[in-house]
Amino acid sequence: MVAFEDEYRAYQEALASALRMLRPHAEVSTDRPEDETSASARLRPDLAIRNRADPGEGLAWLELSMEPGLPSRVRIGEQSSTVVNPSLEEILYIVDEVERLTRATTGPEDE
Amino acid sequence: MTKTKTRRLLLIEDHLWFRQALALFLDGEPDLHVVAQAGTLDECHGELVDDGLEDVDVAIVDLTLPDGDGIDLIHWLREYAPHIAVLVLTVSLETERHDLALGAGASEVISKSDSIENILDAVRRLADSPAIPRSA
Repeated sequence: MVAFEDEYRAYQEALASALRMLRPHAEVSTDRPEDETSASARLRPDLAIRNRADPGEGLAWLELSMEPGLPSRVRIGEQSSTVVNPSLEEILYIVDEVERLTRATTGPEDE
Repeated sequence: MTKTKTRRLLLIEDHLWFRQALALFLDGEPDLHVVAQAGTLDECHGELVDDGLEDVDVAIVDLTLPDGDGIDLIHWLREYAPHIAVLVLTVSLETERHDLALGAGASEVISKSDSIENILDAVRRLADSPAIPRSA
């Protein structure tokens, strides 16, 4: 789930497009964070990527700072960390880590 | 069969992941090619010195860069590469900043609240508009 506030729509769409292209097996959806009752709540994503994180959210989240010089925050399970001006590769690493954790928790889907 | 004209782009944006994601999206279009990217004014000058400006059609420029103002870069591009159309991509809603960018020689200002499809349309529109003569 990629959910950015309206003023950052281009960021949201570019990231969702890149994730769909580079991780075609992942189900990438977009949402508006202002709408609490929308897709985020229904879909219960494995990873929520936002420009403003909801700390109570699900298994994992990534809050991407809109100021490149300020840290972006990551939580995967019980692990929290920060990264400054992450690359797309670093975001993909987080996506892959969440996928590994999800598989470890639930088992492979097709088995 | 008609050969598609390739529009060559320069991308200057300090958000690394956004720049890479946008470049991927633009490069995915058969008629577009991102020939160089930079995240600072310094990197941009380096890229341009290394790779040259001759083949670039459109520069997509963020106004807020860590080592300076994108408006200075627009002035620089106007002076050294007047054939390059400048598309400003900014999160700033201040009309004064937009006016400054246009006054410096930007062809168009687009907000980051716009869709990437709109960015795509603007890139094509500017790439296909008559070039500013080098002698201007």
